[in-house]
Amino acid sequence: MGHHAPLARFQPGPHNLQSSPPVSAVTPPAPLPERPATYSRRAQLFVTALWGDGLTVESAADPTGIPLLYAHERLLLPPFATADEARAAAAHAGAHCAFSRSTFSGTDLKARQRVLIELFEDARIEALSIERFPGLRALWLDRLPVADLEVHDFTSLSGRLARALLDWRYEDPDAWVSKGKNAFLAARDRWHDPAMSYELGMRLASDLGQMRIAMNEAQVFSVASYRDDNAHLWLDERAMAEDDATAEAFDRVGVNSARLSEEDEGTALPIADATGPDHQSGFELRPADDRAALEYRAEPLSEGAIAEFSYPEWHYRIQRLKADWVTVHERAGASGDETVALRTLQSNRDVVDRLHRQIAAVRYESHRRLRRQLDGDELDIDGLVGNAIDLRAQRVPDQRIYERHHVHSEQELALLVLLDLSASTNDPVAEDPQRRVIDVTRDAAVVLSDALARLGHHFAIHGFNSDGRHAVHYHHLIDFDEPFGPAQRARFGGMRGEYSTRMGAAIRHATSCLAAQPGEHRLLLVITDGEPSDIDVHDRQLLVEDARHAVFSSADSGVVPFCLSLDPEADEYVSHIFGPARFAVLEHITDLPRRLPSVYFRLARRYLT
Amino acid sequence: MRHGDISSSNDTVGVAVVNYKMPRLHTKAEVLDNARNIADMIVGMKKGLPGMDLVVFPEYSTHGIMYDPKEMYDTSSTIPGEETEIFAEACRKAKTWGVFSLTGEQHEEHPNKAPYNTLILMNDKGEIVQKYRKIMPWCPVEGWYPGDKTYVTEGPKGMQISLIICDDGNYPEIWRDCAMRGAELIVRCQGYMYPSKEQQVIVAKAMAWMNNSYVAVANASGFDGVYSYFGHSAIVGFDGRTLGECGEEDYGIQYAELSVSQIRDFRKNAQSQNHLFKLLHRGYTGKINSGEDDKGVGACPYEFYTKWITDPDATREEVESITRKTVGTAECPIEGIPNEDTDSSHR
Repeated sequence: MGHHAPLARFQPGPHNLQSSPPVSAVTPPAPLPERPATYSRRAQLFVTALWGDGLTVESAADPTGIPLLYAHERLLLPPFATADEARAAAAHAGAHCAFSRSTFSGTDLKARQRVLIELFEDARIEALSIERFPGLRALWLDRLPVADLEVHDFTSLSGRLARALLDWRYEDPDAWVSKGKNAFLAARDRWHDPAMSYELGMRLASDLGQMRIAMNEAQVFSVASYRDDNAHLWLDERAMAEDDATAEAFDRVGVNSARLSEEDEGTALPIADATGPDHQSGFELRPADDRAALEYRAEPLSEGAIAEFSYPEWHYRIQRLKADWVTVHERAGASGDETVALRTLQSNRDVVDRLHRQIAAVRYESHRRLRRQLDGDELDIDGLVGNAIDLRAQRVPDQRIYERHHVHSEQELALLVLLDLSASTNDPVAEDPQRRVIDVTRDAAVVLSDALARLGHHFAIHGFNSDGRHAVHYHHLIDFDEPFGPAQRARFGGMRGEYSTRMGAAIRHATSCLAAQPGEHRLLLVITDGEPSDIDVHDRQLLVEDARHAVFSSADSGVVPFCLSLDPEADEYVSHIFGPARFAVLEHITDLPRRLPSVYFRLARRYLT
Repeated sequence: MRHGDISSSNDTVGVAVVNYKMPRLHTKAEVLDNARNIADMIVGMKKGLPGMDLVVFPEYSTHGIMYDPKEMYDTSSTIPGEETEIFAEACRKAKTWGVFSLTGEQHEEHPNKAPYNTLILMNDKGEIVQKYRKIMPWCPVEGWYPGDKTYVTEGPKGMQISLIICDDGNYPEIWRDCAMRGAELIVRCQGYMYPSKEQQVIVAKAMAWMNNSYVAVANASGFDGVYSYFGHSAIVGFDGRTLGECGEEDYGIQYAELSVSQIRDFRKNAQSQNHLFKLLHRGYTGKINSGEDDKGVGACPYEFYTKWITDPDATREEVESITRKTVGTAECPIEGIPNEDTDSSHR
């Protein structure tokens, strides 16, 4: 089972299995280790014995590591270590062909929901298969990894649910897993109905949402290596809505609003046209009125609306935080001329294009092998050897003999770019006096936003300035989960440099914005042209020290702060505020549009690869 | 009022003032140790001065000056608190009233707001009967939150007592405020340092004279590493003449007996120098001579005070026009205090 990035569908090649001789499901033992390619033949024989003709099994020419099932006709198998794995994969794909003849609509579903729908669908077709071939349970069960009961994340819980749905004697201590199993068993009289998978998947996904257990959305998710990618289950493979509020709103109403309309079971219907002429479908699962439900989502701040937040401020002289000292007024950035941003993109087209290529490459570098793990996908040979040595030497062996493939994705990283929008940004740029610092800042922010939005990275661009401790202004130019659309571009056009630079409060607020984001890594990139100051503070060191305190608190909370300073004199204070390895001072401000993405790129690589 | 003996009577309040050596402390524990030292001193003094009804210690005598802001905030006290408990025990034991300095007293919004510079008057049962917060912190050096009120409290043998602190005493308004509200003894606790020794000695005497009040001054002595304190704790009669005055010695003590009946008799019967009476019966002779009334003029003739009360902001601007616009001065700038050269624009 799996979900991953959209795949190009192609037509299956001509196959005629009708002339194949009948084969037995019993495979003779192999006298010699087989080359991986030969497993597809064994799998072919196995699946034909089980389900008859109809599925062609081939070795994947360009293996992705996941079995790929196309149009319920053609199965591409990656290299497997054993023939049983290949047989498990083929039996599973055959079960799909036998029982998964419907197509779900994935539009507006979140990855978490799709994964759980798929998980129930996999369980449903396996359960129906086991009713006919009870031995398949052991074949599949042996290939399900044992999940760590100590871990309470999406991956672990989903894996345990998959086990519980396959092995009904398995008792999991987690209530969510038990609930999923009980609901599945209670719905036994509906196992013939794919809508059951949809309903249970949505319900369990909603529960996870309530439990605030996040899934790394764009990460390839796989319960077991024998399960195919399930792309064939979905009507379309468009990128999914990432917005959590949207998904949760759908969670609440999805079960009621999704209607199954049975048209003519077993007959190809026109709705399959979207994915190819041969798509078989007897069901159309159509979310009805889901748009109305989606209106529930937490609206982004509209222009002018203000939310107020209180933050402490560090007073270095008394070495104390003054509680609730600063008031941050948060609002959407003022709208201005959208064409400013569009012109920026046009004039920086070369940077934009290069960026797109560069950052996209991160996707393909995102697998990492974690050695010497207590559990994992494969045995770690070094760990095994070490273990054997320990045993022979009569030492207590190190139990960490597995390796795990850790998949990072750009969605694991949340980026918040915090722009200094104080009055000093109206100063002309030294090397180009026709332009102001804020013009260059805007260029850089627009270029970065465009690139990250196109790549689906999780980011926000916020700006700040201050007019005393009671009025720290905090603007959303583009917020997390907002598109880089006309409204957002207009906000970049409306950027103004005014007031002062109470940086500590802005960093604290940005940190709390980041803390609310899912993902493993949170990056805060501050772009400023001067040292922190405000009109109600006369001790120059005070807001510098406060900013330092805010930065270090932010770092302690797991955020990675980094500063790009546009002040050539910044060396005096910026290293003090951010720490020696967390800043860069630009000698030429006009380099910012080029440097900002490269700094992000460098930092992102550090956490994503 | 009399000076020279160690006794007191039903009509006289025995008042002692102490040249307490300015301590240099850093921690709460050190402050409490010092408070115990003060307590021991009270008990000892009572042995030597059996008539002592009231003992007065200087400003900063409990905490010393915390030149480190963190130490200042860390050691600031609550009232009542551990320090006052130590003093209460001593007052009960010595059967005497006491005036004690707490620098500082935590602000209601501690630590967001700066502590106060506070004096307490404690009775011989160990009860705090007056808590005064310094109205005029000694800017630009002191960083206390300013108080806003004086108090008059009945002290030993019925004597009416007000507390003021150090720089407060350089403003005649506070003396007048206390005296006009009934204070017979105005206690001025100081942590006053050189150079203004002569001026402060004069102020105490002048204010006693001008306000027909007893004045008891307790000042610190010694050197705390930053300032040198000139002592000269003194007791001044309501006629402006000094009854007893210390020199600069550490732990010097002066003592006098202040008659309750005499000051009341003076305020009742004195004529030409009865400043309290005359301020509100201005020119009564001329009014009688003019056939207008026999009480004189009661209204305040001083335009400045009228304006100050009715429009403090405008009055402040007028004062700025003859002084300066900013709290700091560019010719002797102090970090953290804006002066006329400070850039106050947004950056």
